[in-house]
Amino acid sequence: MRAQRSLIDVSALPTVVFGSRATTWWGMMCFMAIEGTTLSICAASYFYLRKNFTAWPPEGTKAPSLLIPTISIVLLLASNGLAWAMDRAAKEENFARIQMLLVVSSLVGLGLFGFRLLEFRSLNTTWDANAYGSIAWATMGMHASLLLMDTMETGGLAIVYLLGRAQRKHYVHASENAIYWFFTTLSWVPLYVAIFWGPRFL
Amino acid sequence: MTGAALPRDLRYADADSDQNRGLLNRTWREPPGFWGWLTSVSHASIGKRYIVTAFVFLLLGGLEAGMMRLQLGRPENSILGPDMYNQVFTMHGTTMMFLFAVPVMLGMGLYFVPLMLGTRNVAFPRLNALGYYTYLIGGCLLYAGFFVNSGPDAGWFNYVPLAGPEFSPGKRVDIWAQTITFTEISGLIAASQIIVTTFKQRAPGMSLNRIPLFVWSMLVMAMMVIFALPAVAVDSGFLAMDRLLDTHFFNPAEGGDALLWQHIFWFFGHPEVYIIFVPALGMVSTLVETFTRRPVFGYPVMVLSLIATGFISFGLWVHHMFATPIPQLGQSFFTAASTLIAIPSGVQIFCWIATIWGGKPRFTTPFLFVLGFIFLFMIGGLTGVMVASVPFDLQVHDTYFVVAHLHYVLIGGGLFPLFGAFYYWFPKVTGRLLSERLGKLHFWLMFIGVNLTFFPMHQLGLEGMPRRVYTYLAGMGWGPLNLVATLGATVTVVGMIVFLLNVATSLRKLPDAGDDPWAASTLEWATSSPPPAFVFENIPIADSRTPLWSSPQELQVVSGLRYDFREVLITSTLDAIPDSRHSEPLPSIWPFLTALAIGVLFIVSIFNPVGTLIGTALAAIGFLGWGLPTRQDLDQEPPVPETR
Repeated sequence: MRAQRSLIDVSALPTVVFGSRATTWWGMMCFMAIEGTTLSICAASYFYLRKNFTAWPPEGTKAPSLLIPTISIVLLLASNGLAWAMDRAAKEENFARIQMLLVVSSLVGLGLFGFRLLEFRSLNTTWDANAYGSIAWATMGMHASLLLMDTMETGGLAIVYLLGRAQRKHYVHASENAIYWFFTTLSWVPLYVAIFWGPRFL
Repeated sequence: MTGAALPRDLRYADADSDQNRGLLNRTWREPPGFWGWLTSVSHASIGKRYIVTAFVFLLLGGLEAGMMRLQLGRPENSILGPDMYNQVFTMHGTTMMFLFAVPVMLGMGLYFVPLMLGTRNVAFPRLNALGYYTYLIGGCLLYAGFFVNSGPDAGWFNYVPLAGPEFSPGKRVDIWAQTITFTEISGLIAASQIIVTTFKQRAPGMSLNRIPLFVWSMLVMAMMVIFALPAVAVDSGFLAMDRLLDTHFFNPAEGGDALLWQHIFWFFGHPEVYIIFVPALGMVSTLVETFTRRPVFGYPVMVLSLIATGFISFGLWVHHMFATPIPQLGQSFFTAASTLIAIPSGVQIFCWIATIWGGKPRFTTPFLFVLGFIFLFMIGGLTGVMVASVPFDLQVHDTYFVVAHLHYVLIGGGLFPLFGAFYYWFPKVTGRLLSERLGKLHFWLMFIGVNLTFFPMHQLGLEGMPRRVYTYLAGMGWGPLNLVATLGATVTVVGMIVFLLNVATSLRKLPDAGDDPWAASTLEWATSSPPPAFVFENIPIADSRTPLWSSPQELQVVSGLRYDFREVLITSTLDAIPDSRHSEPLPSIWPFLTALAIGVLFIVSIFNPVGTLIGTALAAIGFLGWGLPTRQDLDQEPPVPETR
């Protein structure tokens, strides 16, 4: 055993830090990279399969309807206001406001997920009709699963708060939950354009 | 915070060492018994499980290889029928790639990265446990299928349309697809651990340009995992949907595309080779440094080569598809990219040669494996440059030439460095040295066996022997060389038996290794062997790239971390300046239960799509139980005041 000499005292360092100073923030970045890659591969497959068809959507298939998906994406983007407020409340360590925002965000998330299920009908095709239908459903379904996952995470965090078991570290988790919601909603924008507007231009 | 209420002597390194160690031990020890085993969140324990489980799969994959060599040892042999042979070669490839090579490298990373960085555990310990259990479930699923005659049989890359619903009815390919999903989840989890631990939990002073090369290699590998593994998860997901939900991703009759499978698969599959190879490069650098007693020549160039290898490996995938209709520009691009990757590999080989040249090499068993690596990998690399050329590739495509090439690369570039690292780090993990005599015997048997098995396959390939045939006619003239290959495989098996004997006898003797048997330079040798549950009594400080060589007499350490609960030091990403103290979670059963829920999700959905719903609901319960602080958690860190 080597002799030990203490050179640095870290006892005064904080135990709760936000943003890129926190390990969990980096973990979330990894998760975003994984999910971003997954969605990109779905999108790439969408464009790859285009070359097998003379028309896109294939003949006999109506182009996807725009009304519900457009309302959905506007609501989705608007929900970022909640996420932004949650991030701020978390960094201010405002317990009551975080608790309220977590509950509201969970319900809004559930609502948006429900709306997403309706959106599948706007594709005007089924997953087993042809490769066009398969890839449109799969891409949208992949994103819907992220939406559900994030909502479940928000709901879980809300339960921790409601049961009175929230520790200071949960402020950091609330902030990161909000940042992840930005990713979930913004990553839908290019996919929405590809799936719902693509068939009008490709 | 509660920290302020503690007596000062609990927080300082210069206080009574025995008392500190006692406290630390109480804080970090693993709960006892089988239940304790299931709840463990220690990186050492999880890392060891990965390594041991992966070695079990290595033996199973090796047995499958042995069965194939027995069958091919002479023409028109009938030990294995065509159906069993298809299952065996598919199992062999799937086992070696997904259940052995990647998990064992990740396991080495999970065990040694925290030690080399000077921290107490990985960044997300409970997630780490979840990763191991999903891997274990995936492996068990594959072998359960095999033992009930439902082993996958369409090759480890499961090309459609062969693997599609029309030509592969039954559940064989579905089992393959879900096994892949399990191993991908576990791989992605382990990669995230390695990335975040490396970025945020380095010892103070260990700026990016002082990270040990092994950790650099694990970091590059983990980054590659993050961007490569989602591809195969999507691809196997598409395949499962084509088979179970009647989608048409790969069905040409409905606008699907068989080549889409190949593109996505190899977008993962080529980086996969480097995911195995890059950590091995880090192992070689570590061994070369220790056994030449000098810092590795050209550290910045070595790091840049590792990163370049990682990047370029994503631009090569089409060279697996030269026999498909690819535009000529594409062929030229991927030929150029495939030869380009020889440059960073070559740079590293020259740096090692320069290091050995300028040092005093000690020809121990680990170092012999390094030399074996250089020899075998050079042969594999040379044939790699050959098959990178389209006209040559078209001649040898799907022949034994490619089998020879890939085994030289993977055994030479992956397995030999791994064995070297195994001999090198075994004393750290167990406190016992392996026998040098048996080790050298193991090396020579493996080296002769591998060359005897695979070198003749180059010639067999040039003579036109195709891959994946269960037998061949005597008139083809392939019998003698196949017999040589089978003899070589036998020698390799004897080598493996010697290795197992070496491990078994070493484990039975008294600990004899001491803290630092090789007089090495990196921080894992600063703690005892095996390391205690808390790893370091006080977090060390890295004052150079080779901290144990630059201050051999004493260890400079950090004081002020709590001893009475699980706390790790978080440092800044670039310069590793102490930034915060982070409390780590306690052991928990929930990661295991959540893994079971994920198991239900993917296994039941093979038979009924309802499994997806049930599994998701169970997993949600699992994650909730996991995240909800228990009484014990709240005793350590009370809830925020507003909740009272």
